[in-house]
Amino acid sequence: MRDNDVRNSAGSSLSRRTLLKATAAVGAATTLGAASKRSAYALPTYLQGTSLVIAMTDGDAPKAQPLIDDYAKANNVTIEVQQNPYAALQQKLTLSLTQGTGDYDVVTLDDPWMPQFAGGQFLMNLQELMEKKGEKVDPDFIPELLALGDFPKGSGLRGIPWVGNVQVFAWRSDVLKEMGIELPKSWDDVLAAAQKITEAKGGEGLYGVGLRGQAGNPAATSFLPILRGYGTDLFNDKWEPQLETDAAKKAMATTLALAKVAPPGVENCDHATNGRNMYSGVTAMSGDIWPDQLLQIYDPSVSKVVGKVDIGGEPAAEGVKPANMTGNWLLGIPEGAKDPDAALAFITWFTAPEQQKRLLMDQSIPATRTSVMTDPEAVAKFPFLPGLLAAAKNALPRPRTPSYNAVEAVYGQYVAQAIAGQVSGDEALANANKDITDIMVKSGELKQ
Amino acid sequence: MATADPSLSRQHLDEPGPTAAPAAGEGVPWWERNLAWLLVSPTILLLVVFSLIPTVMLVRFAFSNVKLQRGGFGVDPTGFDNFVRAFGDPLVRDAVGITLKWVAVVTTAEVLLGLALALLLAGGVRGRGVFTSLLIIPIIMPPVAVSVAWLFMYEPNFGVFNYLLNQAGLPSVRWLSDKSIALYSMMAVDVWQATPFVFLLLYAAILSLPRDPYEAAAIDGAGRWHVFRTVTLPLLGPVLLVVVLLRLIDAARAFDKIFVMTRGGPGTSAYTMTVTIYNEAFAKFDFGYASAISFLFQIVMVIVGTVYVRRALADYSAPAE
Amino acid sequence: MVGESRAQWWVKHAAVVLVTLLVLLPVYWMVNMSFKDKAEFVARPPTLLVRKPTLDNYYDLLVTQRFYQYGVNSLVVAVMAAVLAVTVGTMAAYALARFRLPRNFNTHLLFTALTVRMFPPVVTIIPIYALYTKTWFGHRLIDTHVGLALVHGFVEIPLVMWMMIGFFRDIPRDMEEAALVDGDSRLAVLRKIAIPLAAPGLAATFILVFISSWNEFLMALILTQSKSQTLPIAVAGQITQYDIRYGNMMAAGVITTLPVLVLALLAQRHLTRGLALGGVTG
Repeated sequence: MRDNDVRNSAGSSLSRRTLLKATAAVGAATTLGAASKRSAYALPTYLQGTSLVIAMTDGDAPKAQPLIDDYAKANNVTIEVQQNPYAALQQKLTLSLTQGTGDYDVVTLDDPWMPQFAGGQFLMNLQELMEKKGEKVDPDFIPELLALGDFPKGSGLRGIPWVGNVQVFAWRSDVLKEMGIELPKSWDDVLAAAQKITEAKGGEGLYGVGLRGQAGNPAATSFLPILRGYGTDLFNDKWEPQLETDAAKKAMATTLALAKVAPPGVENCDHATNGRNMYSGVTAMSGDIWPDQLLQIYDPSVSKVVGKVDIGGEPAAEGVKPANMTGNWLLGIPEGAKDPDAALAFITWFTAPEQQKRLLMDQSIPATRTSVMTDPEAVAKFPFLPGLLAAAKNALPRPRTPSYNAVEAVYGQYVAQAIAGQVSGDEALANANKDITDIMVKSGELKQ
Repeated sequence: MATADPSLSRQHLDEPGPTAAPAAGEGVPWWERNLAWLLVSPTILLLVVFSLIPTVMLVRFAFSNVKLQRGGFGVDPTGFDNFVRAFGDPLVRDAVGITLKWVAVVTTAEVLLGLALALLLAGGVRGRGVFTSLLIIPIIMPPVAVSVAWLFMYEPNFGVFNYLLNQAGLPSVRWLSDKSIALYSMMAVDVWQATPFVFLLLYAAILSLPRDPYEAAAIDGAGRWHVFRTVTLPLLGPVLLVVVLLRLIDAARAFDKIFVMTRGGPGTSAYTMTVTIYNEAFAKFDFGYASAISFLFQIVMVIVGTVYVRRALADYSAPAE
Repeated sequence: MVGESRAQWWVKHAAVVLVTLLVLLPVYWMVNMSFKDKAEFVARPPTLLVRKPTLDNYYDLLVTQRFYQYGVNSLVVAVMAAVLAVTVGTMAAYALARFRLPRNFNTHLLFTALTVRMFPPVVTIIPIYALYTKTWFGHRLIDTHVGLALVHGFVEIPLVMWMMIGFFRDIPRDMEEAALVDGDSRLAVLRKIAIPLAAPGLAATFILVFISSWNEFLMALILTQSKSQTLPIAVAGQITQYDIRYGNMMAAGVITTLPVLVLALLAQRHLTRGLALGGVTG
């Protein structure tokens, strides 16, 4: 696929080959563990000696720990990091934040959770906090990502992004080349290619496509880019669910056909399994690959496909603007936090350019600041950063409604049922449409 | 007060009554006079705190639309809405069937296998001490650890089961991802873990059975099956009832294994009642609806349990001299 | 049962061997996998005996993740839960075995307790969480050893009652009556005669409650954070947001199983006896 470096449509194009090289470099960077400058940041004396409790996912906590240790040491601050798996973190935050228990001073939040937490005003308005202290939000943050922390739009910032994740389409360039398959542009192309690959190589344990079929967030996250690739979304402007449209039906048919040529076990496949299937050479393509998985794909100690995987924007039908989904993580302060000033000081420090750069260089966490993404040293090391920046600027978040968690649980459940063969695709869509309508009516977002 | 409940007639220490002093008459301290009440009071206190209060809260939630809002749960009474919805919800309907299937298959398999093993070993087998020691391993293993071990044996691409099948020239099986197989695959894990428990209880019971009836049967020249049916089974009856009761209760509550292995998948085909409740409460955060389903589940459990517990209790406390 | 044929003898022993293998296979597999590195883990075909054994998984757990902290949490919670359940349950059991309370209270209490044990934890966990996050007398029970031990102990009280009633009934009443005639108080009888005689039962019951608390998953998942997180949560925690650390998971399973296994084997005679007596006497 040497001559197909750029998916050419709109401004969302990622330079595919550079991305590839860069991700390889990312892998190398982790192994080298490049050291970087320590920030000489000192807290005002009145904040010295305070203590903070931070809630993070167990995936991110180890990566953030070295920075947190430095901060704690430099400022005589005690910091306790509580780590939880993704789903458990979501549950605990939902319970803890709504109860206003003051369990946490700083929390990290996945961007689809923001409307629920920010909309319910369970998080402090960081903008107000800053203005009180005469500070301002740094315009250096990528505005599109910063906007994820503002819900309802214009009500003030309640989260500051620190992980600039986007979902990407990944494929085995060696397999496509060997089989003479052109890089798929639309999901129809992906299906055709996947069928061809599974048919030819399924016997040897190589399958055309990987997707997640586990009920809830996993199935939903694999299905949404396909839905969008057919030119529709979960909701229209009036918050009416769009799952009974022709486009949705086509997306569902494609999803089910893809599941048939996915590796066995697709029905229970989750994020980690989908990544493992990619790096262990079981799948040839997947539209549901995230930066953390790219690291494994390019880590020679686990991956069997180092240097064989390219990544780019999500496929889209002709005339449909392709978009990569955001999966940013934001830092916020729950209402009821014991010491908001100390918490804000930490967030400000943690998302400052030096720390962002250190996270990028040492831990390969995509930055959320323009200056870091265009930093010459960083770009020299990761040549894909401008491309990723462009993708981030063009990326689409999941539907921004406080009910998104419930909505996702519902359509993620029905999509999974369809993939498992419990109901037909059309039934699944009709059921999901009905249940989502109920949720939106109940929450008052949809008037009937 | 002293009027006898026949089922408790064995207790004769309690004469002349629970609140009276045993022998010494006046001058007996109050705590001695009320010893029985003092002894049961911590249990009662804990029952109130951890059962009664939560149940009251649960019922209140069940009749409400519970919203997570600032400062706690926002509770809007909605009458029977949640219950109406539950009765029309295919997920709940399926969950009832799946749970019943789980309970029936798992309990039957465990009790039959456990009984067979117990009889086998009681018949005299070399090295049975070692065997019983080994059987303790599954019982005490954390269900989470058991689940992850089996999860990887079931793994479709790298797992040992499919490898062995393939070696034998058989096609791979999608152990946990085929909706018609997955539930049974997970049942197998439960059977693996709980059969030894059933075995240990029954084995000990068989060893402590009186010898006389067997000798009498031997004199009569009764066949092996006949002896089992007319002597062993009736003698084991009370123990069997208790064992079945314990297994029924645990099977109906099954959660850990399903949750760790497939989270109720493939699709929703292994959504037992507990998984469904968990999902409504902690994935969809619909506490009102989850509470309503929980409440219905609890009622069914209490009804089924009442019949059973009464039976078991009657047998348990009947004189057996 | 005498006079079995040679063939029967062989069938019987073959069956026992087969069952033993079935019982041990998953355990072996877990141990085997816990020594594999990442590459060997996804090897096809799977290696039936680890080829390049590595202690990386154990090192990562014990050193990097400081897994022993979870072990300490589990230990503290399980001991407290067992002490609570055995103390409270034994007291109630003695009362029910030796006294008759008015209005058939004996049966009602045992019945209620057994019924409560049938409630799936997922049913009551929501209200209990709500209770635990509130402040009572300046303290909150969420994410504390005591909080988790309370619920773990509570759910096992019926088991303790059930078992200990059996043990107490097995104690010859004459001994207690003789002591009463000698002028001992009932409390003294309980302390001097009933408890010592039921000691093996107490030990077995204690171990059963300990194991059940050690292994419990759902309540620990919801009611603990980092300060009191127990081993099962840490095992499941090897499925992180980004990665399933299979090797770690298997090593974590081994680490979590070992202590209770040793305990159970040490106390095996009491355990079997306890199970038998507690469940059997009738």
